[in-house]
Amino acid sequence: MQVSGEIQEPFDLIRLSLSERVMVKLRGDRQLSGVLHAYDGHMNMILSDVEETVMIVDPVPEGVKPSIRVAKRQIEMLYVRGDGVILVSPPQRE
Amino acid sequence: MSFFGFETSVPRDDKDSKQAYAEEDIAVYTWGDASYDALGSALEETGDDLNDETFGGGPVGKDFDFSGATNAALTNQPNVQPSKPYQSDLAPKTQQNTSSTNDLWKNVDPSSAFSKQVPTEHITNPVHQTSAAQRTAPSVFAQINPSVNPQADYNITNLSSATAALSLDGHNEARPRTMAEIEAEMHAALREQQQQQLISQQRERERMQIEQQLLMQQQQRMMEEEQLRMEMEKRRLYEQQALQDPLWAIRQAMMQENGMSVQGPSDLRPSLSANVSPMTQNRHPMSQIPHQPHPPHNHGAGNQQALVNELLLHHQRQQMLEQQGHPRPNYDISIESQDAMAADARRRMQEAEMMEARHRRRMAKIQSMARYNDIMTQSDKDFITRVQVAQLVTSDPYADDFYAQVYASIRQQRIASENQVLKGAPRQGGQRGPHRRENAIQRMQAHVERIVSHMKSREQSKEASSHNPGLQNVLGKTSGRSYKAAPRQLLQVATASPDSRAHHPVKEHDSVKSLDSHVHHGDLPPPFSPTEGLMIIERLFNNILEIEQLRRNKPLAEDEARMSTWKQSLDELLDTIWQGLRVVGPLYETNPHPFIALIAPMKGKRFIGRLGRDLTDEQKLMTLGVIVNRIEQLDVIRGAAILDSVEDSPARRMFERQAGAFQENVINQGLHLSPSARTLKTYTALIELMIENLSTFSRVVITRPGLTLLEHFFAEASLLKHGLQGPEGEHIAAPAEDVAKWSNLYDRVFEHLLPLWNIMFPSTRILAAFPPNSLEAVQVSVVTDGFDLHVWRFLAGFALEGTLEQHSRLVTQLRAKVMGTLRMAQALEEGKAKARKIRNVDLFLNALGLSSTQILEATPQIPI
Repeated sequence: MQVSGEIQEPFDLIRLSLSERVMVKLRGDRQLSGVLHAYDGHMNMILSDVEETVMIVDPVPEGVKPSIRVAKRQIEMLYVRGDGVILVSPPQRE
Repeated sequence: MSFFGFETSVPRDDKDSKQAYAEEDIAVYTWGDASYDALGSALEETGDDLNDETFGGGPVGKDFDFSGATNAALTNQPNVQPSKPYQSDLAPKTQQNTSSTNDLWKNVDPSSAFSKQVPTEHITNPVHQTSAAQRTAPSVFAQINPSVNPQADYNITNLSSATAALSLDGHNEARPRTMAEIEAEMHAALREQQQQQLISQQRERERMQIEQQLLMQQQQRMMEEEQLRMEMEKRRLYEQQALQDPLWAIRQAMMQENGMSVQGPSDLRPSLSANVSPMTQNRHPMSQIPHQPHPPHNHGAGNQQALVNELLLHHQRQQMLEQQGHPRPNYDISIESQDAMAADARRRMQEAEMMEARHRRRMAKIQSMARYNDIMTQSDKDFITRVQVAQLVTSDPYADDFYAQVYASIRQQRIASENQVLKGAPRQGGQRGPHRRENAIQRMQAHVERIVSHMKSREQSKEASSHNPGLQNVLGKTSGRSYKAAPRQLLQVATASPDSRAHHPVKEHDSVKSLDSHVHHGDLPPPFSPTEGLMIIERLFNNILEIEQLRRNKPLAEDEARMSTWKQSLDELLDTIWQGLRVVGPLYETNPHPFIALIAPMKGKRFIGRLGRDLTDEQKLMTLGVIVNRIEQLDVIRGAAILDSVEDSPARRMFERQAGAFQENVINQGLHLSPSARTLKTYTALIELMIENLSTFSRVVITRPGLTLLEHFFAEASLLKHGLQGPEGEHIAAPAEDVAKWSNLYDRVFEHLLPLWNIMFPSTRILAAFPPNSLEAVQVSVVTDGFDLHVWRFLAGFALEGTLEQHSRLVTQLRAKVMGTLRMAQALEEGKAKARKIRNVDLFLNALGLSSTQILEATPQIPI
C-alpha cells in the first residue's frame, strides 16, 4: 500500500481528517471533539457538532488535594482560533 | 592672518596710496582706521529739517497726474474734442513716441513672443499703429500727458532736462527717463501684448472662415466646435477686460473696426491648433448671459453672437451646396435663419460649457490625486508587484483557485457564444472599442503575464546554469540577488508531485494496521489502516476533480485526433478510480472488504454519491453485489446496535448521519442503476444474494439500515413486477419467468421474515428492558414509535404483495404487536403521540384491508 505520496507536509494529515471527527486540545485546559469542516494555515478551524470539555481546577488552601471538575458543553458549530490549538488528532479508538 | 584664505594684509605704504587715491578724485573710505573722521556720527538722523534738500522744494510738476493724462488722451481723439488744435497736434507726436519706445522695449525683452511681430505691424500698418496708441490712451499710466497743462510740463522740462527731452523727443535714448515714463511704457507694452493676442485670435477666426470653405463635410463639425471654443475664449478675455476696465469695451470695438482692415492672405500666424488648444489656455467659468451688449448693426468681429450665427449658417449652406454639387456659397444671411441659428448656437455653447465643466471636474480630481504622486519609488512599486505576483503564481492553479477557474471557464463560454452571435449578424457601424476599464484590466493582465514569464525564464535559466555546477560563477557572480533578498524559508512547503515520494516525511505505521479491528472481526486482517483509507479517498477525490477538469476542456467534436486522446485520458482516469475503489478482488481476504472499508467514513459515502454517473451499470451491479455480500461488515450495520436505545448522544447522531448518507449517497445516488439495467431479474438476484446466508440475513434485517436496503430492493422489484412504462407510454410486461422467479423468492423471504417480524421492531427490543404495561414503558414507547415507523412501512409494502393465506399468517404473527400498540394508544390521552401509534398500526392494517377503528370499536378496553 503506497499512500505516502499524498502526505508531504503536516497539514496533509489534517486534510485527511476533513469531515471526520477530530479531537482538538486547546490551551486553557480545554478539549474539543467535533467534525472538522475547514482549516487554514493558522490552524483556525471550523468544527460542527462539538463537545467542549473544560478542566476546572478550583483554588484550594495549601496542603489540600486540589479538586478538578470537568465541565462539558455542546456546540452546534464552532470557529476555533488557531492560536489556541495545541494538537489535533483523530478521535481515540475505542 | 588669513581668515577666509585671501590676502587681508594692508599694503605697507598706505599713506602714499591714500594720497594717490585722493588725487584721483575717488572717495576713499577709511572706517576703522585711526584717521576715521567720525562723519557718520555727524549725520542728522532725527528731524525732517532737511527734507526740502532731499526732495526739493520747488513747484511740483504734473508728471504724476495720471488721471489728467488719461483725460487728455481721451480728449486727444479728434472726434471727441476737435476744438483744441494744439492738443491734436501734440497727440500724434506722443503716440509716435510711445510706439517707438514700445518697439525698443519689446526688442530688448527676449521673452516676448510678439517682439518680432510688433514692429512689422507698425511699419506695414500705420492705421493700426494709431489705433494701438489710442488703445493705450485711456490707461492711467499709458503716457505722460502734456496737454492738460503744457506750461507746467515745460516747466518740468526746464528743471529736468531728461524729462523734457523724453516728452519732446522719445527717440533720444541717451537721456534718462522718469519712472513714470518707464512704467507707462511697460504697461503700454503689456496692453499691446494682450491686444495683439486678441487680434491674432480674431484673425485666426477669420482665416478659419476662409479655410472652412475648403474643408470636407466631416471636418466641418469639428471645426465648428473649435471655432465655438475659440469664440468663448475670446469672449472670456473680453469679459475679463471689461470687468477691469469699463471703457475697454468701447476701445475694443473701435480697435476691431480698425483691425478688420489689417487681415490679409499674407498673414503669417501660428496655426489655430497651437493657439487655441483648450488644455493650454487658462480657462474660467463662463457666464451664459452675454456680458457685452453689442449693437446689432455691428457686423464686425465684435458681435460674436452674430458671427457664430453667420458661421453656423455658412456651414449649413455649404453642406447643402456640397450635396447638390455646387462649388461655393456666397454670404447672404436671412434674419429668420439667423434667429434659428442663434438658438442653435446657444445650445451648442451650453453643451460646450457642460463639457468644459466636466473637464474641469476631472482636472480637479486628477489634481487632488496628484498630491500623492511620486510618493512611492519605483523600487517600492516593484516590491509590491512582486508580492502580488507571488500571491498569484501557484504550481497548481486549478486546485488553489477552484472557484475562479470555474468562473473563468463559464465566462469564457459565455463570451464565446456571444461572439458567435456577433459573427452571425452583420457588423454594424456602432460597435465601440473595449471599455476603458476592460482596457485597464487587459493591460494589468498583460503586465502580470510578463512578470510571471520573466520570473519563470529566470528560474529556468538558473536551473540551466546549475546543470554545470563546476563552471558556475567562475567568471564572477552573475546573480543579482543576495541572501538578504531571499530570506531563509521558515517552512518548506513542497508541492505534491508523484515523483517526490522518495523523500516523504511521514512514515507508515505498521503497528496501526495490526492494532485495529483485527481482534474483533475474526482472523482476517483489515485491508488498510483508517488513515490509509482516508488517503485513498483523498486520491480518489483528486481523480474525480481531474475528470471534471477534463470534461470542461472537452475538445470540439470535429477535432477527431484530440477527441480520441481526450477520451483515452478520460477512460484512464475512470479506470484509475474504479481500481482505486477496490471493488474487484478477493472477497474474503480482508475484514472488512476494501471497498466496504472505503465507504466507512462519511467522505467515502459522499464520494460514491459524487461518482454516480461515471460508473457503468456493470460496475454498479458489482459494487451492489459486494455490499450485499459483505453487508455485515458495513459500518452502518455493524454499529446499528446504538439505535436500540432511547438515549440521545453524539455517537448516535453521528450514526444516524452515516446511515442516512449510506442510503442516500451510496444506494440512491451512487449506485442508482440506469433504467436499462433496472430489471426484475436484477433485484431478484440481489435479494437472493441477501438471504443466501440466513443467519447474517436475520441479523442484518433487524437493523434499520439493513431493512431499508431490503426495502429499497423490494420496492424496486415489486414495481418492476407490474411491468414498465415504455418510452411511448406502452406497457412492457416483465418476462413471465422472471415474475415466476420473483414469486418464488417472495415466498422464501416471507418464510424467513415471519419469525423475525416481532423482533424487527426497535420498540420490542427496547421495551424488553422495562416491565410490561408500566407507565414507564408507555412513556418510552412514545419515543420508540418513531423508530418503529420504517418497520410498519415495510410491513405494509411487503404484505401488499402477499396472498390471503400469507395475510392471515402475518396477522396471527403480529397480533400481539398490533394489540399491544393499540392498547398503549388507548392509555394515552388524545394528542400527537396517540395519533402516531394508531397511524403506525393502520399502515399495516390498511394494507390488509383492515382498519384500527374496527378493533378499537369492537374492544373499547383491549385486554392484556
